[in-house]
Amino acid sequence: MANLIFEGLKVWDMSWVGVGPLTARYLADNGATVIRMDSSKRVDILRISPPFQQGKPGFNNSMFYGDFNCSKLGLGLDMSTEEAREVAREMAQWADVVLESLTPGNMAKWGLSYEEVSKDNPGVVMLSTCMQGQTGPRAHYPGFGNLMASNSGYYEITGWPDAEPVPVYGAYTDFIAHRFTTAALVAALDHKARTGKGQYIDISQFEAAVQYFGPEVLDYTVNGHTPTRNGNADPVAAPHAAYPCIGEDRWIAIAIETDQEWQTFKEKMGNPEWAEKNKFSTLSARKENEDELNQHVAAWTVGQNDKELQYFLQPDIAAGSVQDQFDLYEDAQTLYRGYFVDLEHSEMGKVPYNGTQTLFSKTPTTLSKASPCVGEDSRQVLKDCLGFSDQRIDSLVASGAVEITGPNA
Amino acid sequence: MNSQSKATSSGTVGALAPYRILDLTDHRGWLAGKMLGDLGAKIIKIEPVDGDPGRHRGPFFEDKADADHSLKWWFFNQGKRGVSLNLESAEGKALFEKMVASADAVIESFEPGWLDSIGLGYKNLEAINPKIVMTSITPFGQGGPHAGFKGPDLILAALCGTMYLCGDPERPPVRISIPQGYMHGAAEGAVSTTMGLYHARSTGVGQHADVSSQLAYTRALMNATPFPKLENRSLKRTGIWTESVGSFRRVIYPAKDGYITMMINGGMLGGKSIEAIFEWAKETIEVPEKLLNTDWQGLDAAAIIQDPKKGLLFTELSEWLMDFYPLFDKETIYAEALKRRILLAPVSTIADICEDEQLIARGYFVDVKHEDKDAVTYPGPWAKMSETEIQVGARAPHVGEHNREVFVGELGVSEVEFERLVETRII
Repeated sequence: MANLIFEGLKVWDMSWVGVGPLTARYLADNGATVIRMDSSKRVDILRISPPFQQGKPGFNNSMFYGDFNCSKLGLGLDMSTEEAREVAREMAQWADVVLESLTPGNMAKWGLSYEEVSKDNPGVVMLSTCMQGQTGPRAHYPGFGNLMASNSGYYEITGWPDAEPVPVYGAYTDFIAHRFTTAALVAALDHKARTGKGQYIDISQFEAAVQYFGPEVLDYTVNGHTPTRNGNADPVAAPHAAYPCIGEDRWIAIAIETDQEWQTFKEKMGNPEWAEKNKFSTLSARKENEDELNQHVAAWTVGQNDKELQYFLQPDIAAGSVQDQFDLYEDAQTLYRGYFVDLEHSEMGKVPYNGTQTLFSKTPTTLSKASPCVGEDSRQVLKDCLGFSDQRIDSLVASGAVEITGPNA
Repeated sequence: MNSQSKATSSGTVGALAPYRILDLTDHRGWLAGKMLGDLGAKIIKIEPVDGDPGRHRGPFFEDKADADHSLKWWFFNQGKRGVSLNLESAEGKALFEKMVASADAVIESFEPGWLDSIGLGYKNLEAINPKIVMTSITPFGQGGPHAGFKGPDLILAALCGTMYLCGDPERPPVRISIPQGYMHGAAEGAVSTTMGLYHARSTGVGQHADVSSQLAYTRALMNATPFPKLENRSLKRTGIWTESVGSFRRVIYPAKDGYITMMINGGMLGGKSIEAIFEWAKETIEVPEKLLNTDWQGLDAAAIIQDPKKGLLFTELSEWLMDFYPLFDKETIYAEALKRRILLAPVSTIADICEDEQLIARGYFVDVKHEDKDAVTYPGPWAKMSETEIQVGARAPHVGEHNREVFVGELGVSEVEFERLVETRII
């Protein structure tokens, strides 16, 4: 079998919640040894957030946590004890990469600032990511990705023009930032492999999120324009909306970008009389009469099945079912790419993980194991990484500095 | 020519400085090359002789809708050099093959199979340069039953599952009004390219990375995807409301000059925020006794499960906040929130972001020089890297701006030959 991309790379993942753990997951799924710090005393909020296996809350029963932490080993540390902080510092000496996503200042309090870690581990690449960065007037303001999505402009541009802005589902900016953190981190590892030099990386999730808005920022700075929400409309396409289909809350999205596509779409609809009117003949005419246009199209879709209609229209016409979460598991393309991966979790049993969005031809991304229970692998990690004896580990567990839950407890 | 000097004012070079990347993408993939260029790689944007069709996508500088004034082009192609090349001609293809021989990666976003059909697929490039990393960024990926489907942003938003969860439940699902699907795909492509380069450097073996933008967008569903398998249900969109153990609270509140976002919750963290609001509110208006006397820190999910009636307190709090927040503008609310550690955020507009004190304090905005224009302000460094600073590149190229520099200067094409290639529209 081919070597995985990060085979041999040692990662100490002290991050929590979204961006940090997802960054470490890229490394873990591609062969790195990733040790995830955990604690049931200062629990990762994802462990108390749904979905839970069988709907039963429990630290080791959340797939919100699980999905962000597969392919990693779990080390349970109670960082309120000096013994645990000493273990964390030793792990930072063991590691090639240290990741953290705490409120700025916490790592320094634990003696784990980059300056301290790199004193004896000069090659370490350390990445800190938080809401707004390690410096500046709002560095210490806590938050989470939902608030950051609002703060960085995403809510303002979501919803209907005649109504309030609406939240985008979830901690949206986490799923922008985690790719900027990973690209920077891998680039830094490449630099280190060439030069031997480690470094410190500070990524503000705010700054990453605004990168998607580069053109809109320019539009403001040069033209003074500020975009707002526009439902499903597009300035250069019509029809461009979600139309109702048979069933409860079933919809199909249709996007017509060119006049040629409009001709094809008319044929697909059976050349109805209304579509021949001048007020729909060109893009600008259709944009002017978009509400009426949408009513006509909806009248055509409303009696149809969204999936069947999708396949009737594609690949000539851009169309797609508005998929709910059940649909995702039946999406023929998602199945073809083997996206969801079932893994056997020590307590949840067989559970589905989001897989890779990139297929590598020679080093296929491999979700090597299910996510750990809190401190599930503490013993193995302390032995393998730090060479601790069983006796020493027992005493750390007895004092509460080290935690083990799950099957190895 | 040293327009591409990648050293910053402090003299560091980017982490990917030794790498040379050929960027064949259209607007669906531009961000990948932008991110890699920011990290120091030398990007050559290769466009058709008539220019990249994405140059005609708005918004435009001073609303001039032509090939040189697309702000989308400007931002996502900043820091790249630009050459024009007809890949479908035999000579153009030969020139490209020559470029591949000395490149480290190729990024592309053509329809699956098209590069193969002109003899420039991964197999062909690998034969020229076994170390080459090729990253393909497409709506659905290179193979499979939907590979040939049309996938503009709206369709990606629908199929990936985010649209279903977004918007007012009484109205159709909505997408985010500014396209996101390709952004996620391109950012994923940047990550995959760094990974492919890292692997190729140590092993000498390149590979093909096949990105699905649909799935890159599915990742943004956060925790939603496992629900069917664990709890046998699908989450639904809840608009401006959020539900917790059967009780509803608003997430969006009107302010004097716009909106703010606050997710009200009990428990220790959420309870502290609520108490802090009351402390602030008491300076201005009366807070109902009932709300003041509630133990919000004790009112976590478990407490509401035990006594569901208590959940209604959150609905009442939501209603009271509807009277309170409109007394202030967003800036005042955010400032008080920072001071008092109340967890909330403004619903920022692009204008707010451009004037944001935190972004400004961190030197996020940079001026980029455009000939015959005043400097234009761009979003700049998105990471602070102690050894290899993010590179602030030169303005995006005009069509074929660096043809002579690349073809004559670097590929050894003679001046006579160069003139002929221009005349015959190979370049």
